[in-house]
Amino acid sequence: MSLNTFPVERAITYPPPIEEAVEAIEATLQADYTLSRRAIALLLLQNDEEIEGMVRRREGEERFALIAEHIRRAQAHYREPLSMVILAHRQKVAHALAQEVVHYPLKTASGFAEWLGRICMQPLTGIPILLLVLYYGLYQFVGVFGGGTLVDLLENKLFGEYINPFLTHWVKTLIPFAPIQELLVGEYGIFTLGITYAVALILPIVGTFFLMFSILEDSGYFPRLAMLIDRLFKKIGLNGRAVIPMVLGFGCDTMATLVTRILETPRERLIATFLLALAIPCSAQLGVIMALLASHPGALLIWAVTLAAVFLFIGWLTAKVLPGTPATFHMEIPPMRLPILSNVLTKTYARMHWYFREVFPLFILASVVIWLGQMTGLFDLALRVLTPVVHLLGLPDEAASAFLFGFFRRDYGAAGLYHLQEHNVLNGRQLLVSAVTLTLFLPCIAQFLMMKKERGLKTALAISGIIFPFAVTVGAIMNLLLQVLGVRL
Amino acid sequence: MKCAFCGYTYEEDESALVCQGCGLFGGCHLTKCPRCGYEQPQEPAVVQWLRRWRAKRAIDSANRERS
Repeated sequence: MSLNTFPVERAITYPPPIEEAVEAIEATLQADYTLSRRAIALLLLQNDEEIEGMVRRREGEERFALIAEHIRRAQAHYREPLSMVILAHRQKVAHALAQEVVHYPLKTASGFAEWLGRICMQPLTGIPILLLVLYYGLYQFVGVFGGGTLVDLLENKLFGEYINPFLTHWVKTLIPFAPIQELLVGEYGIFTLGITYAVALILPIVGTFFLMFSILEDSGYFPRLAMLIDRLFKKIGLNGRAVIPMVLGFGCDTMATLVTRILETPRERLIATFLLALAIPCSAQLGVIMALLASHPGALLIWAVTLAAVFLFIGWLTAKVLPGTPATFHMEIPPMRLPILSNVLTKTYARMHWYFREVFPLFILASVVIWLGQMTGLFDLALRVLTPVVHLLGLPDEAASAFLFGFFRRDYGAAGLYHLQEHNVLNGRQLLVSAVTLTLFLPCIAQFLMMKKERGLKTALAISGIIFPFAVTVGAIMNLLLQVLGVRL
Repeated sequence: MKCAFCGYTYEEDESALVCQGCGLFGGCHLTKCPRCGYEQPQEPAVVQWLRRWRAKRAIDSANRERS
């Protein structure tokens, strides 16, 4: 049968309750539409907001109430939403059609890939696989190798022994003005802090993170993670689809906030935005914290458990406070495959390029702002204001500067903590408390602006107003608990 | 381009349509899948150039062999 002669309008006959509802709605519709009445009826059954609005306007409230009743009656036959029933039926018909006309010589996906893909989605096997991915991919590769070995090589050897002493010598020789020397090679100088943090600290960490991210992405693991996590996310008012912004948030929270647009309801978008701002660390911050706590595995475990608990508890609480039900989630799963090296390298390079382009000017700008603050005395004033907060968290005075950096960007603050740890200023407990508090901070100013754009100024201010006191409270409680329980890390 | 999340194949101009209304005006250098919304980086210019160069070399060598 050629496509031209195929009876398009009746290509699919739906189960009786749906067909009856379609017929009843078709009979109720009176106005003129560009689409066929059957198409309008099917879109109404699928809860299409645009069509609903149009029909309500053209038919009037009385007839629309009749249509709504037909939809309600059809829905009473099913536990799943009608959109899902219709979609599943269409897939069944499409599959049957494809079976008739498409012949596969052999099964293309290997049996092992199929089996691996399947076990990644089942909770009993999927959760241990996820833990293995986190342990080897994140902790060992990004934290120990990227944040430990590579950072040591770049920051301590290359920058610490060669580049920075060389630059400091030449700047001090060539420029006789102390303030300019301070701006370029001082304690918070453009070269000695901004560029050193960006190139020697953040770049290797972000590089290893993005390499691991690209491997997982190219293998087809993420859609399986979405399926695995769907049930858990439903408890916090989201669904598996929210894995997309959450996973992207581990790259950059600001971009991920923009991606929350793909979520179906305003309620889901708000919950996801809040959780991204509160409990999802971005790539650089995650890497620096992995590196920071790699030598204290107990502290790292407590950090991860605390973050997961905050994520789930706040998500659950927000879902309780905001009325509504989570939207349904269904997606086609692409086949799992061995990552292709050229794809992985291209994506890693593209992401590092993108990230570096964003972070480099900001790190330099932060150095300039701190320098201006030092010149005017505002930096010291801000440090004095922050000192009581830092004491509340059981941290020494020196940690105030890391927290001040954290207001610019969370990763900049985490880099400040890394610097303190290198000089043995913080013990295990203090490292853990400061890492938890800083992770819960709002990621950066760009994130605030994105929240304002996507959710409005009131919501952005409310989220920020909740996050800062909440982060400090969690840090203070953790410090108190660790001290009372005598936990040594 | 192929979406790394859902496997959907799309053209860059389709992605640009989904990005309409975004305040970054393409400054993010990411492409967005029109089906699932997943974002991935655009192929860097240097990689595009390398790919074109390799394809051109392969065509040239095939032409030489034929002649």
